[in-house]
Amino acid sequence: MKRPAKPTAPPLAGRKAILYTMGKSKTIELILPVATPAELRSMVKLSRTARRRVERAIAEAGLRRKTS
Amino acid sequence: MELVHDPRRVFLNIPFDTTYEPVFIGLVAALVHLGKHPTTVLEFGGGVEPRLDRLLGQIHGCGFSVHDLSRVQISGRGHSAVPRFNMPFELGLAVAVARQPRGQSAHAFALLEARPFRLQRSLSDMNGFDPKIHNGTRAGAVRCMFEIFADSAPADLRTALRLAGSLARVSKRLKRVHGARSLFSRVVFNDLFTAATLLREQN
Repeated sequence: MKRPAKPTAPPLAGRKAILYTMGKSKTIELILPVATPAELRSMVKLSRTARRRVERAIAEAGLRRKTS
Repeated sequence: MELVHDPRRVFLNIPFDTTYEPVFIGLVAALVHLGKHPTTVLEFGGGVEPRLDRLLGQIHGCGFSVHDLSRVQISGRGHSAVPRFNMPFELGLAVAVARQPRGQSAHAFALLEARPFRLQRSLSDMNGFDPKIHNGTRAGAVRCMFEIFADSAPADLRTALRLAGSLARVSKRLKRVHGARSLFSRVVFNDLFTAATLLREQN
């Protein structure tokens, strides 16, 4: 079976993880305090114009083609 | 207004000098690489609440704060020269928040300096809390953030350094677009943070 290029499981970052403690029959709930890049970007309230402005700046810096 | 507490949010208590911009870019790039959300007082805006209340709300809303005391010095010339108290004052607030009984707060803090042993002379009350030394460079700032946060996220130093380099290039464009002299304004910082997340996504 071919392995997918990208992992299909959702990233653990910022999600609740259940840790099984050794030798004890209880679980600890832990929220990993990191976010995915997409989650981080959604934390900024950004208008379409602002997003386009940033995309253009990135493109002009020669780092990515402008997408819109 | 107190922000909803988010352990991923990191409050940056830093000097807003143009000469500090390389370090600032390094901090933002490294934090975004590590899955953290950097915030500063620049995001306050002009609310009706007193500045101190907004500042405390901001610190309470962050799981972590980073305090750079490398520019605690005399600012200005002649009779207008005064010592800069904001950064050590904000550190004091963060220390007070962090030392509240568990359950009332979940806040931790770290210190940055440009030179070793300077903090022991400028703020001996913080002896025992060793600052991370960034040497006033972008790469130094990235390394400091890795020393503090790399345990909590999958991290690759070379990728983060590359992200910081890319962000530095984009920051020049952003300043030109906004006609801004520095990165230290609300709108430019928002764009810088967004650029960091977009660059992080494509890496």
